[in-house]
Order: sequence, then C-alpha cells, then structure tokens
Amino acid sequence: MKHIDLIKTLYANRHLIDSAFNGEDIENLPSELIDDIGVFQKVAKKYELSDMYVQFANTMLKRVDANYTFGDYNEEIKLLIKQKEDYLGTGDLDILNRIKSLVRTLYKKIEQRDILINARINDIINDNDLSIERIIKDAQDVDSRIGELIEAHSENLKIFGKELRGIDDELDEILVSISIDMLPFTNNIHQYNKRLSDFILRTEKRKQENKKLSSLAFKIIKEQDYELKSLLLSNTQLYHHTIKERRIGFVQYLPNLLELKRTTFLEALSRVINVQKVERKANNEKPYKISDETTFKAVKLDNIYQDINKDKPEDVYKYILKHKEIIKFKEDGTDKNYAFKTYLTVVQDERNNIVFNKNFNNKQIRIAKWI
Amino acid sequence: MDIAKAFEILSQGKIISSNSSNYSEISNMLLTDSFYNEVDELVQKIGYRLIEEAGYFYLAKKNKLNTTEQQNFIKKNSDLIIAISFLRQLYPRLDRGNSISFIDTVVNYGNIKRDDSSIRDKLSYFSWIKNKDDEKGMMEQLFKHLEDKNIIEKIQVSNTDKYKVLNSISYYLSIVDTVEKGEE
Repeated sequence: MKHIDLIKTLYANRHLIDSAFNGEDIENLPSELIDDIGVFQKVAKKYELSDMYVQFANTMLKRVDANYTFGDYNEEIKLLIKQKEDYLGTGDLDILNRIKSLVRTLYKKIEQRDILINARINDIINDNDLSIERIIKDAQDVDSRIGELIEAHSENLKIFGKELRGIDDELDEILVSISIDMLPFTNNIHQYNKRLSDFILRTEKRKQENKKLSSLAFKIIKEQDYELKSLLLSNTQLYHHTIKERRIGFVQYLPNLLELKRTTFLEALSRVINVQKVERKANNEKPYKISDETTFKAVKLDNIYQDINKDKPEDVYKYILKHKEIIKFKEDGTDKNYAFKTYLTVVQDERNNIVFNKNFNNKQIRIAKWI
Repeated sequence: MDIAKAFEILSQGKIISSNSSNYSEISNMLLTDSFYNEVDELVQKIGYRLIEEAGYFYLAKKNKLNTTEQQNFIKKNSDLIIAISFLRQLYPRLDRGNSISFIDTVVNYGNIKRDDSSIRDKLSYFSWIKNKDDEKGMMEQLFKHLEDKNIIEKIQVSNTDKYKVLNSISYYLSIVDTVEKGEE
C-alpha cells in the first residue's frame, strides 16, 4: 500500500475513525482498517484506535495527548532523599553533583508540566469539535489530576525549601533560585484548578440547557407545547412584551371598552396626574373697582374780579377768603390755600387797582386795598 | 441619550443587552440607577415595567394580554426558542459573548444534517421562511431574524459573516429552563 492509498482509506472511513477518536465504541469494523493499515487495535475483545494513530492525530492537531499523564515526580523526590542520605554518609562529591543535576532536571520537568497543563486546559476549553460529554469527562479527569498535583507540588516545595538545604552552599544557592522561579507555578496550578472547575460547571449547565432546549423545540414543532404556553400567559408581568413591535417606535396602547367608560377613564387619569380641586362656588369679587365720582373744582377769576370791582374791599385777602369761589374748597380744607393763590394772582395782575397797607392782617398777610 | 430616546428604543419590544455594541449607550445609561428609576417610573404610568435581568433590559406589560397579543407573544417566543435550539445543536457550547460565523454555520449544518436529519425540521419550522428548498437562503433569513430580535449582532457592520451572541439569549434559555423544570 502506498501513502496515497493510506490517505484514501482514512478518508473513506473518516466518520468511523472520528467517532472512535471521540471515544465511542465501534462495531462492524471494515477489515481494511484492521488488516491493511492497522489504525485500530483489538484490546480486550474491542477495537480501539491504535496508540500510534492517537499520538499522530494529537501532534497534528497541536494538542497535548489527552492521555498524557502529568507527572507528580514522586520517584525523583524519593531518589533525591536517598542521594542526600548517601552523600551525608559518604561525603562523595559525585553524589552531590548528581543531586544538583537532578534538582535542575526536576525544575525543568515542573516548568514543562506547567506549560502542558495550560495547553491541555486550553485544548479542552477551546475544542468545539468534541462532543460536550467527552469534553466534560476530559475536564473532570484533568481537574482531579490537578488536585493530586497540588498536593505533590507542596511536597516538592518542602523538599526544595527544607530537606535539601544546608548540605552544600552551591546547592543551597540553586535551591533558593529555583524556589523563587517556582512561585508562579504554585500560583498557576491553583488557577488551573479553579479555571477547570468553573469550566466544568458552565459546560454541565449548557449540556442540561441543550437537553431542555431540544426537548422543548421538539414539543413546539409537534404542537405539544402546553407548558410553554401556560407559562408565557401566566407570567406576562415577568416576561418581555410590548403589544406590537413597531418599526417607528412608540408603544400604541389601545384602550378597551371598559377603559373608555368616562368614570374609569377619569379614575385612571386621576391616579396618574394630580388634579387640584376647584371650588364649586365661584368667587364673585370683581377684579376691578368702580372709581369714585370726582368733581373738578376751579377758581373762576372772572367772578372774583367782577365782585371785587363792585365791592372794593379794604382787605383783599379777607374778601377773597369769604368769596363763594373760595368757600367751595372749604370742605376739602384747601380754601386757605386757594385763597392765598388767588390773592397773589389778583395783586399781581391788578397792581394798579391795589394799594398796599404797611400793616399785616391777623392771617399774617399784607393788607391790600382795592381802589 | 435622554429618557425619550431610551423609551423609543425599549418600546419597540427590544431586549437591550449590555454587551451589545449597537445599544451600548442606552445600556450604559440604564445601568445607572437614577436613570433606570426615571425610565421605570415613566413606563409604570402607562402600564409597563422596566425589567433588568442578568445583563439585559426589557419592558414588560403589567396588565393581561388580549387574544391577539397572546398569540403573537407565544409565536415570537416559540420561534426564538426553536432558533436557539437550532444554534445549540450546531454549537453545543454557544453562549452569550461568543462569536459565530455564518459560513461556518452553513458548513456545520451540512455536517450535522448527515447524521441527524431532525435539525432540518427546526429550520423549516419558521412560517416566515417561504422558500423551503434553499437551505442557505433559509439560514440567511434565520440569522436576519435573530439579528432583528437582538439575540445576535454583527461584530462589524461591514462584515456579514461574524456575529456576536448577546446576553439576551439567557432570557430565552431561562424560559426553557422554567418550562422544562418538571422534566428533570
């Protein structure tokens, strides 16, 4: 068989090989897959993908082999303890050098393990091709192994930090430097544990959701979705709803007959807005006031001149004060005021008809005589 | 973003997801308590409630629905449950915040259909898909529907292949969870 024939055979059986790769049991295997190319091996009466093929597939897919066992390095630790005792017993420098070398190797392995665990977790989390069941199983396996490693790791730290200290200065220096470099791994391994546990929980939840989703979808298609309908109708206050989705927007609320009744409408309205109660009895106070009748009074000088010419008084002021033109101001109390103004006007205008006396009358006004 | 704008968007019956880029402005505002309360107070006056759940907002009606509303409501929810079930059959671990590609989905559909033809029943369930022979066309319409209902949105407007799954998917998953609780 040529290489191209191998590829053709693999392609022709791709679904079967893929199922086996995903962990399913395979029955009725075509003989070409057993006899010609040996992709499958018979293990305990069952056919499984050969280890060689699984390794090849994982390498090509840049995965850490799903069956890769993350080492706890107990053997190496035991060996270190033994070598320490041997060195203390014999003082053989070769043994000391072996211890130094083994400590370095162990550190490299732990660093490598950290990278591989991270890669494995990323594989599990990002693998969208594997079935959800398979992914949960893988995640659980790795998670439980990490649990064991956390314990082993703290043992390793104890050996590096205490057991091997104090036998040689150079070894101490190496151990101190390694212990510092190991700090991130200690942190990481706890994070991996948390990350995987979260992932498992989330994936389990999705698995349950998918089961329910497909069950309900089947019921809807078969029109046996009574539970869904009754749930939706019984809980509208909790579920998403507007009357109609409108492209333009705005909820259109169409009132029903009951709501259109005047009393219900007013009640609803009064709940929403705060209406000020208006007094039934209107206030009859008029906003304007009828003005009082006003009489305009004025002194008619002509009448005064006429009378003054006729009577020729000895004291013009006293005469004017008693004249009827002035008397009419008496009720306002302004008669004296007007009398004096008139007196001034008269003495001013009719200077030729006036003779001023040197004396003042009892109102302290100069006596003027009309001639 | 003011109340009027927020109301206009919510009143269209949209579920606003806080991981949506298209509605980041309103969802950020609604995350502010004072703004949320103001909008809630406003919609309460006309018989609605503003609801906030795990990462999304929507309006719910307080009163009972009339018959037409009931039918629309049930149809809308049933359609979306089938649509989400369809997506989960293709991507069993699909959840909010994930991205999906339209082209990958079409390819994936072809692969799954070979093993399980029942997936086609889901695709042909939708009454708004008329031509039931063109499967790619049907899936285009399905994506459009999910986009209209704000369950997925384009990661970039110009890219019609990559979509983001919005928080609102949890709303429908929680309905499914409640209905199927008795089945466990």
